[in-house]
Amino acid sequence: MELAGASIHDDPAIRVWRLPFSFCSRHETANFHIRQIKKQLPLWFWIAFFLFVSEPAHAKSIWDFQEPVTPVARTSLAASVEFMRIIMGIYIAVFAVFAYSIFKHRKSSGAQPGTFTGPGSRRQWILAITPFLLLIYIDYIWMGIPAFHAISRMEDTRTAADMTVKVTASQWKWQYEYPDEGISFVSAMATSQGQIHGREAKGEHYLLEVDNPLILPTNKKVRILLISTDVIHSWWVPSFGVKRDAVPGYLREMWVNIEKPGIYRGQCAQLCGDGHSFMPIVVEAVAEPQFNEWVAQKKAQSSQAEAVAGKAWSREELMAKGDEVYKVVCSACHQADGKGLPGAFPALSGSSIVNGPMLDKEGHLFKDGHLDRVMNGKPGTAMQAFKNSLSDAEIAAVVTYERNSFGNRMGDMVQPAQVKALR
Amino acid sequence: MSETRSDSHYYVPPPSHYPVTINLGLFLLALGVVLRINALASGVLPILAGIAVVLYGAFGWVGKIICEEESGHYHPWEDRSFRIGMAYFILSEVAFFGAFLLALMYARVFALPELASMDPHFTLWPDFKGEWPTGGPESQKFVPLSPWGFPAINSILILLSALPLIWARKGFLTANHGRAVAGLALSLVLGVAFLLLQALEYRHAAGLGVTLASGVYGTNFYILTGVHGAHLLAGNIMLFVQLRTFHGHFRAKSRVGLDFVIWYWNFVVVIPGLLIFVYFYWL
Amino acid sequence: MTEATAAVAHDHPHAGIMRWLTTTNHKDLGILYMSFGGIMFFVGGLFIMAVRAELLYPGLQLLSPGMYNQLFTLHALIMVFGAIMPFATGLNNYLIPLMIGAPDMALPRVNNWGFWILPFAAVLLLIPFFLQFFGTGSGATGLGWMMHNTTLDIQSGIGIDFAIFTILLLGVSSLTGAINVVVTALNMRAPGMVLMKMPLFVWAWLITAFMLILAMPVFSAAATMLLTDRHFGTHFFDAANGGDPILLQHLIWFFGHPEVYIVLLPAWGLIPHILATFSRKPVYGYRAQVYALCAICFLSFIVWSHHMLTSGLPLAAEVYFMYATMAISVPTSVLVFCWLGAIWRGAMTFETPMLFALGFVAHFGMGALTGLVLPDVAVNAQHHNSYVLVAHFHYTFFGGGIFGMMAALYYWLPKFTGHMFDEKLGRLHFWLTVISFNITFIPQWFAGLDGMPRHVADYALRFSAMNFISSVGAFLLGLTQLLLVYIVVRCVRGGPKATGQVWEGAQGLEFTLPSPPPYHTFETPPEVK
Ligand code: HEA
Ligand code: HEA
Ligand code: HEC
Ligand code: CUA
Ligand SMILES: [Cu+2]
Repeated sequence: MELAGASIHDDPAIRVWRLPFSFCSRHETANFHIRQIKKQLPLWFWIAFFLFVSEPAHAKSIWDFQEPVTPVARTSLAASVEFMRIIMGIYIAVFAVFAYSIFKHRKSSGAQPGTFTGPGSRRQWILAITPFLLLIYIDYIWMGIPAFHAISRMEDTRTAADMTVKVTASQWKWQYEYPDEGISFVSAMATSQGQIHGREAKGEHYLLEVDNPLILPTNKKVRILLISTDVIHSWWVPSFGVKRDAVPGYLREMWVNIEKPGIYRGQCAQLCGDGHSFMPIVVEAVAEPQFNEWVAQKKAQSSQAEAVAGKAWSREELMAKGDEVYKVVCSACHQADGKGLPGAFPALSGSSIVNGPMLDKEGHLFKDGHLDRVMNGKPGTAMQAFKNSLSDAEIAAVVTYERNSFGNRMGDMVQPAQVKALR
Repeated sequence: MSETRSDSHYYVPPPSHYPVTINLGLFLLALGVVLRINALASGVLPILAGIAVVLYGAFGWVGKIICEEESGHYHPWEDRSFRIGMAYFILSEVAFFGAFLLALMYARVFALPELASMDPHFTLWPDFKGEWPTGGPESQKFVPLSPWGFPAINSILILLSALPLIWARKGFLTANHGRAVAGLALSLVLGVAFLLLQALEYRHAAGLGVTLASGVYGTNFYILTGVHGAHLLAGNIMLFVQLRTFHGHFRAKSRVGLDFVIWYWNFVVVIPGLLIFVYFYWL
Repeated sequence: MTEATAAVAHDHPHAGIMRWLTTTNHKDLGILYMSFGGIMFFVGGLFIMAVRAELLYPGLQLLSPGMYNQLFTLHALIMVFGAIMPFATGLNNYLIPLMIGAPDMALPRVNNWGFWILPFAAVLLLIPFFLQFFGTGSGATGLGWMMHNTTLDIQSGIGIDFAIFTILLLGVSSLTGAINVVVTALNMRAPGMVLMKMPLFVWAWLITAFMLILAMPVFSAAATMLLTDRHFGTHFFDAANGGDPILLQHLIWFFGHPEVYIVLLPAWGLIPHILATFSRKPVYGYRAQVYALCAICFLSFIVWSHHMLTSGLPLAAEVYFMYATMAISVPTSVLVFCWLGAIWRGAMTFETPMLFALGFVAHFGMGALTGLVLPDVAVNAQHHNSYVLVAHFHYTFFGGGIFGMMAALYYWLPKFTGHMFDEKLGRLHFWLTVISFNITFIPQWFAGLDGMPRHVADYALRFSAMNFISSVGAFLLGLTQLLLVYIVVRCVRGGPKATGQVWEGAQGLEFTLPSPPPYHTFETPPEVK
């Protein structure tokens, strides 16, 4: 979902690997072609190497993170660049002495080996001690004190927070919740399998695009709460300078204050199973009025949806909606063709659960029934309780869909109202 | 091997197949357990084979050591090696127990209070109070164990069991055969009694609803006492072997085996036992 | 030091395979350990070649994501526990008795036990990997080498159970090996060799062993808890039942951080020997290095949470772990300056071992200095689990660990085999390794700074260039290592005879013996003055 006004040029993610020497323009790099990489290899490498072992004036841009847009990100970028310079300095200084020794004190140039085994004179002791004092100064004063302040600020999530967003991670998608506005939706990767497997051309935001991005207002301190429903994930948007793990059962906090409207992209940063590479985060930062507009629109949509949920759905409606939900939510594991992945995710096609009763004779959920499995999941496995993240209509639709697809021919269906009653 | 008895000669044992045999056994055992817990194949056969091979290897090896000792291969130099080795082995046991005790401490000091103090609007368990003893927000209900029943008796038992070992050592040093054997036997009896009581305690606990389903409480209870009990079992076996050795051939010259038993018993059995009592049941 | 008297071999080992299976001889076991480490280096390298091939271009071409995860996890486990650690243990087995004038390791049978558990452990780790090709199970563990995602560990398939038991077996191996080293160093020194005269390599190993003894059992305990949580219904790591997934991370990194120094300490110990030899000077700053190693050992046990700075520790803990971690730079730089002192005003020549030792200094320096950036919590929020980290630890593991092991291999190879290796090829191997190593890992720094997470089978287009370069470098690096095989095999087969002294400036008891040393050495201890 691209908001009007946010042009592609504001998108920091487009700055694909831009070197200070621009022999490769922005737009070319965006659809980087393999042939180009090959052509550029020696030059790329040598420039990178050169920049690494020396520190020319341009060096700053090569240490850069993605463009920082929050106060925290700017601080950490500054700290990082400064630290990089310091360690480069140390490295060059120390290695210069090594190099001097290597060139001067060689047997072939007739050097006579010394016999000393430690610093001898007072002058040598001073020479030997100075680097350590310097190192301690760098560690604890030069970098240590600003680091302390940066951390205190980074961890201060609650003071003067303007709003709160709750992020619930699960394999392999994010659920975003605005508790004050009562809005909640799921955000999953939108890149097609065709692009991943090379059957289609890769789009410019390959792997970094989602169906429903998180919308945040600019210039507001947003407190972000994190939790997970299954395994540990980690929410990371490089431009925001924050990365925090989402742990099952425990709340974690962080905050962002985005200063510039735009689209910012990140990824899950904790190995979380087979779909770890495909768990992107997209945040659209918009000015406050636009944000309020979006909230109002979203609220209207959801009250409409509630009204719709109450009505009796036709089979076609359920199947269409179910198809949609299945593709977004379930196919990551059970696969688009419902065949699952042997050993990891069971096939739904021909599954005895899917082809068994949904409810018991009294009309209640029962263990290992189809509706129970989808609503309550199976604890201890990747199959989570979807009643927490899907609406009544979505559950009803996807269950109906599964029972009548992939070669399953149950012919029955379930209504959103029934699901509501089962919660 | 040369039979020189000079102190400057260190005994290097000849090639031996026991170590690699034991490894084969351990491998089979591990394989069997993995197959079994995953219901992949019946792992029973490899488990039994593994245990048999390990036992064969261990008995062979220990027998070999006893034999070597009998034939006078060991002198103070070798003796010192064994002692240092045993001391560091016990150090590693301290680290092993330490991990479990720290896991308990972590649950009590960090995890449960954090679970109880998370932002009430967002946490999954707003009503949870993290006071020990508790099994966590969704655990089964249970009645915590009282320290003054089985635990107290058991702790006293195990403390007492260390005393006869002092006696045994004295008897050994003064070449008093009867005393040494009696001391060891008494310890062994107390140790076995402890294990039996522990089994009874498990029954009692299950009656109070303390099972593995009672969250961290049940978990720490069974794992801590279980790991401890397993070490006690090992300690009892060591005592038994020592007793057997003494029974047959009693030589006051080499007491390294006896000392090992005493060290092991004191460091691995008594100290964690006390810590478990104080930190799990009592406080 | 006086001339050592080398006794003549007087008992004959078994012939054939039984010799190796049952041996209690430290040289046999050293060779076994080193060969095992060498083979595993290639196995681990082969696994990662598949990974780099997948990462050559964006998109999934060769591997499924699940297979990708298995490959890098196995790569890491095999490289660390199968290649570097056994190789370093092999060196200690072969060399410590020679260096301190002992007839053998103190507990020879235990020594055999510790080695022969390794092949079994490796088989156990790899069984599920092969089983999946026969449609059984979901493959080997694919959860990262330290298994840091607790809940993922709990829900995954049989691979993780095999890995848990592998860890328990490795625990036995490390423990027996470590205890052996401690006992040997404390009890087997020749008369006159006081602790403060012990060669630095032995010191470094003594400290390594001490760390293993304290750290490894914690890893075993963590693996046990994981096992019981997975299969026996305990709740150590389940929030709903009062557990905490982060607890496993604490336990595992309490082992994992010392582990990285366990890997590197042996190399730190042998670098001074090599620098001193080829500078023709005595070791510089012996005492300072011993104290620095002890300090690193101590510090390594109190900084583990710097691997978990994004997991949401309390503020005070974050600050503490940041400052404590930075402290490690002080003793480490003592070592660096002692290496500098070692070559300063020497009369250097640059044979292959010397080149690798200097390469070690240069690359380890880069890895360690980037390590200095990581504990800064604010910066760590960017670097954690990004490719910056991958670059950091390959500069320390490969640039440090492997370079160190290769220096040692070239340094003592003539001693082990009795033949000199081909010096020209050795130098070629060095330079090719340096170049391809840097082509592989420098781009990873830039990919990481630009925001590329690790553990991903597929990546966004902005990272294409850097990954392409890195993959090409990795293939070159791999091919280069084939040269090493050739050099070593040729040297074992034959070549110019090596003298006992081997290198002009070589010092130490092991160089007073003929090359190769007789099967039994120092049956009567030499006198050290
Ligand atoms: C001692 C440790 C060690 C060593 C030596 C290496 C060596 C190498 N490592 Fe590894 N690595 C780790 C320890 C090590 N690594 C660890 C701990 C991780 C983290 C895992 C985790 O996250 O859980 C990791 C992860 C890791 C990753 C990240 C994976 C990811 O996060 O997605 C990558 C990616 O490039 C990588 C690459 C390499 C390469 C190219 C080498 C090369 O240096 C290898 C060179 C050697 C060979 C190639 C073998 C010799 C040659 C042959 C077998 C002949 C055949 C050759 C060809 C076909 C070309 N390693
Ligand atoms: C042998 C391996 C090794 C070594 C020696 C080190 C050394 C250090 N490491 Fe590293 N580290 C790893 C292996 C290693 N590391 C691995 C494998 C991981 C990742 C694990 C995973 O997640 O899978 C890791 C991760 C890691 C992290 C976690 C990052 C994260 O997950 O977010 C941190 C954070 O603080 C860190 C810091 C350090 C520090 C401060 C040192 C210090 O010891 C460095 C101190 C030394 C110096 C500061 C240098 C002093 C030198 C000079 C002064 C002069 C030098 C100049 C020349 C020689 C020319 N390391
Ligand atoms: C993160 C992965 C994942 C996602 C996403 C997922 N599932 Fe599952 N599902 C699983 C796993 C794993 C199991 C097997 C659980 C077990 O061990 O029995 C499973 C089992 C099932 C079963 C029982 C099948 C059988 O025969 O055992 C059904 C039905 C099911 N899932 C439906 C769904 C629906 C509907 C959705 C989407 C709304 C969904 N799943 C999304 C992982 C997932
Ligand atoms: Cu979620 Cu990685
Ligand atoms: Cu560390």
